Amino acid sequence: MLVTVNTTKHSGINIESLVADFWATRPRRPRQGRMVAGVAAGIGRRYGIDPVIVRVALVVTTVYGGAGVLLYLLGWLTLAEENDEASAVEAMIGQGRSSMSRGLTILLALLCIPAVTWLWNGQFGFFSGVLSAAALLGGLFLLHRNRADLGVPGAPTMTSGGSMTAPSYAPGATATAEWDPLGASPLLWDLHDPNAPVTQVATTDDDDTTVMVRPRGRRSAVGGVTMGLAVLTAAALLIFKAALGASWLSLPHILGIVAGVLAGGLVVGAFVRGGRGLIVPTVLVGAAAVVLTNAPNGGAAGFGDLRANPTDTLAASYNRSFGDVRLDLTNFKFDKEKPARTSVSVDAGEARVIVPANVNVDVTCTADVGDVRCLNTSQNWRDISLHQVDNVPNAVGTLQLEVHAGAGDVEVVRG
Amino acid sequence: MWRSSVADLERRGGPRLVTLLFGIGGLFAMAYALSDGSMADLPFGVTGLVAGGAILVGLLILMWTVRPSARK
Repeated sequence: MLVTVNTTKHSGINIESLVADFWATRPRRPRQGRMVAGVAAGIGRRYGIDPVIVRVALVVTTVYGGAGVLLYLLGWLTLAEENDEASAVEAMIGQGRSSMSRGLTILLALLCIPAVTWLWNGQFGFFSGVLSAAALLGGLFLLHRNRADLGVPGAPTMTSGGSMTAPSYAPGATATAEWDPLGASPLLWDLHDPNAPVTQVATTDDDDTTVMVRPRGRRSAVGGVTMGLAVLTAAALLIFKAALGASWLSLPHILGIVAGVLAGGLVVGAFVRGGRGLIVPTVLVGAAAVVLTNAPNGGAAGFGDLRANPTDTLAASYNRSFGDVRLDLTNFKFDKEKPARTSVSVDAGEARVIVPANVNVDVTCTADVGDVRCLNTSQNWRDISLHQVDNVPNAVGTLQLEVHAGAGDVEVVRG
Repeated sequence: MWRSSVADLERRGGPRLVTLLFGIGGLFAMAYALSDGSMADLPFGVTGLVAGGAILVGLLILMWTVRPSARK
């Protein structure tokens, strides 16, 4: 007897439908109980778990590999807020409305770029980035597979397309209301008829069918006032610096003062219950102020790449605040009697110097965070300082060189 | 325990502690930038800065607690 075996595995996991189901019922970011943007709180509520677990997972995968911060940013962009029609990304492409401003959406999208870079070039290497991303996605997959019906499903947005887990009915079959957690059964729908006249139902004390609607609190002006003050402060300080040439008033100082204004708004907002939207600008501006304070050039040495190929005259220094410096000394005419001196400094970026093969080199390479390759030696991670003296026979001159990067790579090689 | 305490405080209408913490962090960032990264060299030092911040927050909480609308 010939037996035909159907090898299709019906009981297996259909990844496509699982992903579609996840997207259709994806979490919403709640307004209550959030720490920053409500991504962790939303996931916790969606799957009925403590948001602290989600937060711990995000922090751990941020430190180990960097996937946590990327997933948080993506969640912030793609998960709609509680009462919004659509997520920030959907709103950007015109599919619904979101309460998040377009400026913040663009800023978050831009922040995804360094977050992705961090994922591949993280402190623990490439595999830690892959592992942390896999751990987070795997955790989310398991949560959705095992706990999709335990929490509060996210209400459909403009693009969610409805649930994929609803039971299907044959044409003409009678649907029952035995199990329909997602309200997929048309028989259970009780939709408002848009053509029906609006009636106000008066309720009495005995009528317990009245739905409690919490009145929306008056919007605090702290956020708007503080943001306006911060922008005006920044503008006033920049004009003051340009007009009077106040050398003390550096970019880190200006950012620090603006961070102080924003922080003051947060402190006041904590008491008058407003200004929570100032948290992100305060963190960004404050972090920029702290980073630039530690940068050797303090953000005052310009932006963009600097490429120099001197032949006769060597500048005392080649500096950039943000960008790469590439100094090629292979065509420089060295004086055999007088050593040539220069320095290269980059706050954030790569510093690369190519020295001729026929000069003596006395070089000091330093970096706060990054990889350093200084002629024959190399080192990476943080607070690196390497000193090399490399003399060659029949040298045509001597070069005394200092190369520094605040955050970035340093490379000094023979040409 | 801490989370429930925070939630209780906020439910009662007290200050938003997360917002307050970020605000204090921002004030420290300002102090760090304006002292060119050497807060320890300030005349009052880091300890004095923390003490000043604690006095400021303490006064704000005190004023918030005894404000006239809270006693009605």
